[in-house]
Amino acid sequence: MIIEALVTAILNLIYTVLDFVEIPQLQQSIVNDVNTTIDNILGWSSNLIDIFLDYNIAIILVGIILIVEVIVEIYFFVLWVLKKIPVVGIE
Amino acid sequence: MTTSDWVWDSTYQLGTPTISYTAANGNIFSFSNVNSGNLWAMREVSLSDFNPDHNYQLSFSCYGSFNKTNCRVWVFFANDTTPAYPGNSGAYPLVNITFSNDSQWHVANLKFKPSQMYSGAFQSFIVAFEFTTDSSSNINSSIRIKDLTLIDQDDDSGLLDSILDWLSRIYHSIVGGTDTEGVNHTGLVQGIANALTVVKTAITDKLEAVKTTLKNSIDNIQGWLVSLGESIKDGFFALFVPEDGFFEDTFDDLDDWCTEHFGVLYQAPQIMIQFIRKLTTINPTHPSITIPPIQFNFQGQTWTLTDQLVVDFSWVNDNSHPLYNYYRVYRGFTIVIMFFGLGAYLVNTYHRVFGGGSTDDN
Repeated sequence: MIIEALVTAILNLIYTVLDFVEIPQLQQSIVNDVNTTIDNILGWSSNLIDIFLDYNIAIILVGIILIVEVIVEIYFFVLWVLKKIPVVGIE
Repeated sequence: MTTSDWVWDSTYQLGTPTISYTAANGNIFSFSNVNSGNLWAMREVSLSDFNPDHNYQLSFSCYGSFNKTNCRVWVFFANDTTPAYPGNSGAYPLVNITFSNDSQWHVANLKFKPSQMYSGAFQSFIVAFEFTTDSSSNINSSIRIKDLTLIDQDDDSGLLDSILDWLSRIYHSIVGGTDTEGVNHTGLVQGIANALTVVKTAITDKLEAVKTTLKNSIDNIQGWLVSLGESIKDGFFALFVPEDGFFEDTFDDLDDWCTEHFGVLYQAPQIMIQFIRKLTTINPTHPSITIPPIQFNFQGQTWTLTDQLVVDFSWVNDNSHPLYNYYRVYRGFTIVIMFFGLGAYLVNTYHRVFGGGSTDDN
């Protein structure tokens, strides 16, 4: 109930404060062109890459690398926070 | 104390004298020098606990159907082969009864002490009744004897037996069981035990009822406490844990609101998310190099500078192609190289995070 109230209150605050923002959306034709372009780029590039490397394996390895990088960054962030606390004694 | 109840109710006719009697041990008592007109009625009394020094009382009732009948009672011992019977010296009647009126029962009690009459051992004696009448006209009248009873007046064991009997009755009336008289007693102790058992059963039932009531009450209290705990727990969780579907609905509302208010700014992240999703899910099936066409629209007309050029590499999947095997070898080599590259990256990252190592590790 508390979390619901907090989330609702925050969102209501955001809705109220930013209610004046009215940025128009892209036209649907532009969105469709962008999606088509992305599909073409991904399709052609994946076919090109797959000639030289195994695309599926490469995607998995890249995913692993991204996950490791995220973990490392989180670790550095936590370490940075702990270093700010003298009681912990981490330098 | 009565040691033997001898009931004898017989009728004798006068005029038929009995002057001899054979005892159970074979001794024959023959009486001579007696009046032949008298009637002799004899009966043998046998007891196992005769005591010659005890005083015995012999009781009986006589009845004569005529007047002036005289009855004399004699006692002889069965072992006395020379009894002092009538006609012998020393013989004496124990009792004399004269019937003054007919048709009446006369009760007679005579007492004797065997040691004063016979010094030998004996187990039985003979009671002889001698009836005489002074009138021959009454010769056919009848004589009746009944209720012949022998009482040992010095039987101390009787008192002891009586005491024991009473003690037995008292004991069995207290303890319970069958006394010496064959009477079955429930017994005071048994009665008290039964009463205590009833009381115990009642108390036990009552305690069991109280116990059951307490148990039910405790169960109810326990159930109430458990439900209270569950309610508190649910309430506590409800304070912090939102209901199911809250976040989904909230994010849907937020998504709608952002789409409505941020427009193109909110579409860019969506396009990026779609790009990443397609990047991870795309599955190349047609190895080729595609050069897109160069074209543009100008004043409502489409101008094409170059057409799309597709260089097909489908032979890499054709095992009949002469370069197929070489390509497979290359393909495997690249996979190994990629995994080696991943391993080198992980080692480098480890040293980057935890320090140490050298460039040779790569």
